[in-house]
Amino acid sequence: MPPIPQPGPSQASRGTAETAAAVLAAMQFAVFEPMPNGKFRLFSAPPEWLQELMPDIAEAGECDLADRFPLLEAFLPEAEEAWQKGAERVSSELWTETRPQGGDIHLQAWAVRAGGRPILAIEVADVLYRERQLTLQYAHETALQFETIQRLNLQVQRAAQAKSEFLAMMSHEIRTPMNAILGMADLLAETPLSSEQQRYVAIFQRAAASLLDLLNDILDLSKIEAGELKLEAVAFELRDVVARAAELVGIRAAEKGLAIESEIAPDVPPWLSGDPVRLRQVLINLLGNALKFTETGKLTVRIARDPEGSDPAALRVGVSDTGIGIPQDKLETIFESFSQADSSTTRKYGGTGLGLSISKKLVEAMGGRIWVESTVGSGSTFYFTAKLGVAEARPEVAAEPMAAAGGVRAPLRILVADDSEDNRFVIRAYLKGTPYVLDFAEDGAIALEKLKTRAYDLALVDVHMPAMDGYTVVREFRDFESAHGRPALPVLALTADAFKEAIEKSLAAGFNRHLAKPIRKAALLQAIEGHAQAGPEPAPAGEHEVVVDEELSAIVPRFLSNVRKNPAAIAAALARGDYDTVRSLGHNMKGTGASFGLPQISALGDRLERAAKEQSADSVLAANSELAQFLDRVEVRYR
Amino acid sequence: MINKKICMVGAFGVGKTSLVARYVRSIFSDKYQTTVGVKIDKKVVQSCGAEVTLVLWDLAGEDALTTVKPAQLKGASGYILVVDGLRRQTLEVAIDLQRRVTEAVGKVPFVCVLNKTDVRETWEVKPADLEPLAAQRWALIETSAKTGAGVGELFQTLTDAMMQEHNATDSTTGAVAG
Repeated sequence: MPPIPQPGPSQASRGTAETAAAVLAAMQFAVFEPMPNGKFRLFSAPPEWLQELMPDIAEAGECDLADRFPLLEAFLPEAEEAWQKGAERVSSELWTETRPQGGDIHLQAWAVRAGGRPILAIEVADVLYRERQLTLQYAHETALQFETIQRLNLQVQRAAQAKSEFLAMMSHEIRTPMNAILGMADLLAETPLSSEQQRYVAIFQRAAASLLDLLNDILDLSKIEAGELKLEAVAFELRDVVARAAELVGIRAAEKGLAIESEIAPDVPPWLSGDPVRLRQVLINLLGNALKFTETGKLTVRIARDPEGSDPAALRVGVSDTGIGIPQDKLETIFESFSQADSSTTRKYGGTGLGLSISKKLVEAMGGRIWVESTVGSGSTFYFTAKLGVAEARPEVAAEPMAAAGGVRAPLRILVADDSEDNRFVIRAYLKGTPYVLDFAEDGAIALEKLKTRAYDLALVDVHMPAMDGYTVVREFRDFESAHGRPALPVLALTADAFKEAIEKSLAAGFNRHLAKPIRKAALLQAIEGHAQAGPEPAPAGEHEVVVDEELSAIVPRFLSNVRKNPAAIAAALARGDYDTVRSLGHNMKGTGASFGLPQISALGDRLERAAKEQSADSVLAANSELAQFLDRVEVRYR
Repeated sequence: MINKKICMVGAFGVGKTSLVARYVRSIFSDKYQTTVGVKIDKKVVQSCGAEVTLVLWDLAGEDALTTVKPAQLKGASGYILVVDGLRRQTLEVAIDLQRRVTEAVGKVPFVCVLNKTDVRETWEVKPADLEPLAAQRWALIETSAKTGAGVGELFQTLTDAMMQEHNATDSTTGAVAG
């Protein structure tokens, strides 16, 4: 809007207003004068654009401008106020009309006073409109792009999370039957087998174990990719980590006649702070990889300070082999998932192709990098760096609870809660031949009810059960124990998940320990014994000594002499297939043993009764032999 | 002749101008063009047995600096809250606008439109987001300015609601006058 010729206050004249209108009209403004009837009169010749929008404007003389330009409805009250106040000029916002022949026209109205008279001028504001539109459009498009990126990012994150949840679930679903498969294979291997059968079982065990390795790798990778990897920062001895990794791979290396050597440079601090489990995992992966591709020669682990790092705990680790080597063009891709140098590699050498990918991610999480140098035909060296901390003091090593010596076990009452019938069977089979009295619960609710209403010495509770999961069971049971002033029962978690996060979750819920499936027999026995000792039951005074109340001293010897006749009677009954007698003798011992201060006899009686009920000759024999041994060795001391 | 002012309101880029272009001129352009100020269009339609001229005020989309002014809303007989199904926050803008428009013009008929059904598979707005609005008896219509789906229904629904209001007011006025 150009400046309009303004007359002095006392010189208002039509001539001055007309001069102003003529200036404006020459600039393609449509100039109107408000009429007392609310309409507007065209003040000067209509510009072309107005004739296009209002073809009869020249003849009409007066017009209802707000009817033709509804936007003015919003502007006119403001214009009126400006005219009244004598304000120099006010403008409407930009608005857009559609031309009769199509296309937009952008307009803006001005309320001005010229020669003391009110004037409404409308101009075509296409240039101004484009300028403002450009600025706004740039801002909007930028904002829309940002929103799109955010949305896509979220979608990618959700997809990755869904993938990792799916993998974790699948791994768990596969691990549960795997528990039964491995357990049965181990149990089968303990039975008398022909050499051919032994070979079959060994293949069965090996295949199941490699399937389990694959599952572990997939689960591990999916967790790392989902950002769930949390590294520990604990003090550890580097030499110990290397030795344990070498020891594990060493068994397989020895089968191939290969040695594993390790060298740690003297300036590397012996005690470091970091995640020893994950460091060992990388070493095992690299050593395992080296072993796979090496037939003769040796594997070497060399650890030195990272020459590119100033920190004394920044390490560079090299794992060298004398194997087949890797072609140059594959060196870049071998750290990607499922990308062994050649797909035939998997078939020939085995492995999942995930180990290196996992190692790369672990090393990166430790602030390092991984690479390989290789010559086809003469071997490869995998290097990685890791930024660790120097541990200031040698940490106190807490004594692990040890298994009961000599294989003598207290007759514990154990609740096993697992919704899988196969897994209950595996645990039952693993604990066959022990004095443990087992009770089972098929789901979490039953388990909780039994824990509250029955007396146990220990409970094994599966974490994933329908209706009520193991975490809820143990949490509610711990609440119940404290509300009733009961001592805490050792409760061990059984789960397919072996990672730190899962272990923390179990311990936080109130479990005493976390056992990862598939559980091997030795690990289960060790865990039970460890926790039974730590439990509230006092340990027996001596290996075969039983402490009994003084007041029972008159009757215990006769009871024992009666019971001592039972092993022979049971053996005779079994020989003639008379399970009823076995069952009856077992039942009697079950009911009386504990009353005489000898719960071991009750437990064995219970096992005999059950074994007879199942007509299992092996179980009867095993329990009877334990009974005979116990009766032979037991020494009763009175207090 | 009955004139009815309808305001198109909503966040920027939701498709207000495209809905009007589809409705009035049966055209659609994929190119995004920000509206500055107000774009005015008219369309004559039939509703409740009467001929009605709809005066469509397509108001510049809301952003950090642009908000709808009460003067622009003055005299509106109805309004359309436009939401982009792809952008959840445009639903929040619409919910807030509904409150502000009601403050400016009182309770007049409105329709909340979920635009861009042609790319529904990538919508961020989920049925659960709409449940509270349906519970408040909001008229919710899904449209695609691109394909034209739901556009005619949208304007007809609002026009019919405005005309019912119009006729009810007329008879009330008549009763008072009588």
